[in-house]
Amino acid sequence: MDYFQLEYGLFADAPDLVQNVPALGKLKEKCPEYIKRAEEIQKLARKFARDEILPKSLEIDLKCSKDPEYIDWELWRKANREKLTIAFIPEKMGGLGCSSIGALALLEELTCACMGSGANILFNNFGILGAMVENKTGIIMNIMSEMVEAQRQEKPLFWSWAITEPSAGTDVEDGRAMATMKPSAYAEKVKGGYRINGTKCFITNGSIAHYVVATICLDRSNPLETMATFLVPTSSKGFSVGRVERKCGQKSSQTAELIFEDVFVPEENLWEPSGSGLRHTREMLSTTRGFVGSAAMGMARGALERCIQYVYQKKIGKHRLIDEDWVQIAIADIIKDIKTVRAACVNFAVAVDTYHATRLFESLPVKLAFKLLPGKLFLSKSLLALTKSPLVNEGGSKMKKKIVSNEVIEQFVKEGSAIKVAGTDLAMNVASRVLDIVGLEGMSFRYGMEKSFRDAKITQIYEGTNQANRLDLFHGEVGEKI
Amino acid sequence: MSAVEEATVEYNEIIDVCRKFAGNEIRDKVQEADLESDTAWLKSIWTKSREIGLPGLIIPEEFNGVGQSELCCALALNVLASECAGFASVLTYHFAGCIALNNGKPSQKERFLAQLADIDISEPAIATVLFPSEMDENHLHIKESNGKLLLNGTSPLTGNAEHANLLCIFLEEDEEGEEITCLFLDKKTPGVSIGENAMLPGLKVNPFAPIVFQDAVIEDESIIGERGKGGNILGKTKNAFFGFIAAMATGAAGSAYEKAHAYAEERYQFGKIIINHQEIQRMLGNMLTKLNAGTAVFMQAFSDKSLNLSYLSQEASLAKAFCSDAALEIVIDAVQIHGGYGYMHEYGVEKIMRDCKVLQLIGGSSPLIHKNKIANEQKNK
Repeated sequence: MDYFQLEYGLFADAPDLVQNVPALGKLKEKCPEYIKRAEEIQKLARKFARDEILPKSLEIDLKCSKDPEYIDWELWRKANREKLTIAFIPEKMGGLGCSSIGALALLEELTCACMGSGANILFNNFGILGAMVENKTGIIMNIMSEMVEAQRQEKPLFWSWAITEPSAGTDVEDGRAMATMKPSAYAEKVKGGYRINGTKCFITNGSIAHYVVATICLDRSNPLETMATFLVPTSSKGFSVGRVERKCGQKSSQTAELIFEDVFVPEENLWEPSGSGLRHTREMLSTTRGFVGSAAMGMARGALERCIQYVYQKKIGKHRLIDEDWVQIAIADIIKDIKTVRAACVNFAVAVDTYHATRLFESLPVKLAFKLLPGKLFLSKSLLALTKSPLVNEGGSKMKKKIVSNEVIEQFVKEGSAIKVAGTDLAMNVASRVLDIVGLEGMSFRYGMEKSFRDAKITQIYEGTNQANRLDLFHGEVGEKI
Repeated sequence: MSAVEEATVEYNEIIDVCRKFAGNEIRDKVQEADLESDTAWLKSIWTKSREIGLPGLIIPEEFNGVGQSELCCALALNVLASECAGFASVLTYHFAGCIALNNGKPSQKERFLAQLADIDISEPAIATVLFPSEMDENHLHIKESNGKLLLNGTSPLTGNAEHANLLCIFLEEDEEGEEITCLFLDKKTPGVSIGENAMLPGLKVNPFAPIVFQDAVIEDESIIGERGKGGNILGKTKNAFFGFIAAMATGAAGSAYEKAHAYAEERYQFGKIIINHQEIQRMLGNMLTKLNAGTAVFMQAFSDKSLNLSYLSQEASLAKAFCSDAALEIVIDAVQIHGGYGYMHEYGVEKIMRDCKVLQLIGGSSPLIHKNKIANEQKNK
């Protein structure tokens, strides 16, 4: 199919951030730098998505069908050169300096082209997110510098979250559920650290990760009170990767089983002590859920764009499929749904920048530091050593806890849950509706729309099933009051 | 006994034989075959199915068939689709071809039908049917040259494109679609070739492709009925065909429902076996409602009246639309109930989801079918 017939979506000139969500115009007026930076990122992302990801998305899906462990390293390297793999790291430190609104734009453009490839490129940024959730400044700085160094050397450095277990999916994401959870993994206190045994499953990037952030309990009969978070380098003795799953879609994103056999984790890699593991997970989810919903919205947009291109050039008799009334109304319906969800996603992203972790970058000490200190200094060994000092660690931790309080976390879990359900339901039903418009022939592999359908379903399941998300939403909004 | 079971008691034995066949021969390798798009496996299952008379189910006994009714075929397809919709779809297109052929002269039935029921020939004979579609860009048409009739054009995507050796072709010979011609051609006829495999996400063991005709010679014996007067045959074939798809979709969805129900009775999460969570109960109840409704709708499509409606009425397509829509909703919920496991190939549910989405689009998607029903009604007033 010749995509260049219609200048729409990925094939339109970016940036169109403010065109798509005109309310951002006021924000652009008042905080020009904030929106301009996001627009720059949208432009970069769209170009990459259109020119690099889109042409390869089908080929990669096919190759991964034959071999779930296939990776297009050339694509990854290209993304890495554009710093997309370290997008969230501040510019001064060597990253792209993506705020949440910039991250939204980035996510939307990439997942519009291909969700799996988008995930492979961007998921790593969650490593930084995980680090930011982590309270200690020293750890955050060191992780960021390690990632920047790896990016410069074009060396892959992948992160992974090991939360799900064979017997616990939803149970690991919710307090009430965790109280009754039957764990498949556990840690024991030993001299100098901990020893981990057990299995985690369905872990994104698990098979290629260098670092795994794992939530594991210390007492299987009391998981909620003893849940802890550990940083486990995959080079650790006793760690191994089991199966890499064959999935319905998002095939390019690897989903693996992780096996821990007497894996020793030193004390310093205990990120959250016993009892705080759930809080760590909840804090991560308070931003990631909203972004997963946004990524799914990007997927829906991708299905729609392919649909429009197809019906534009598909002939029936003397006219085109796009000329039919029923098609125009069906497409309009999809556009309406995407517009409304996108507005909610933008709201979420700007809210994160206003009230959540990224506010740290707006705080006086951080702003001053970024303004006054030279970039080189940020990654110097001396500064990194300084950040590990108790003073800086504790100071940073206090500052962050003030901003990202428990109230903020729970509020964003609630808001994020709503976005996640809306965005993922959107991805699924738009993909299905698009196929209804284009029919059997449009469902051929080469048009990419059946791939959108296959890629969409899992988004309603991971990051908390949409049913669990709804429970969070109810409890967050009304539950407490009853 | 349910109303459906009462209406079908005479077919119980056949349905039982099909169910056992599916369990014994299909179940073991079906996931692997789906992964590999294994058409060789499909062929081997087809060959085995001759032992229970499946390919000849609708072929009259005088031509070595079992001589059963369309309803019986639908019930068989319903049960087979619960193990593999891909295999059932091959039978569906094949049965449709047989139904069309049944309207031919004795010499034509002798020539074409008998081989379809033959259980002794080494290479099994499989039929398929090509229906005209408004989405066609290169309509099939007949050119007359040097006293010969030559078939030209490209068919829409059709099932059994790879497996079939006998093609049943319906052509619209006029702009209004009122002059229908029915032909039978051997796929090996010079000028006939298979187009590119569409690589649909479901029914993987039955590759769909367009069939291309370039000056393929049509003998007199190849025309069933009279040129331009095949509307009656098209009606009978299409009515049954759509009913078969409805039956398959319902069968596949029923299997997804059962898997989800069984999983929900085993899985523990959020403090309970999940079938004790009200939301899971609500979902399963909703799925069962659709399953029951779908069953009633496809059964009704096989009443004598329904089967003999004019091809212009398009009633049968409404049944297909309803049943396949319902089936897709059921299986999407079934995947959801399985959680992460539902998305993994090994568990077999996501396959059913892909199969049902394809079934939903065969013969037109539901919005198109709904629109066309009323549009054509107005056109024919």
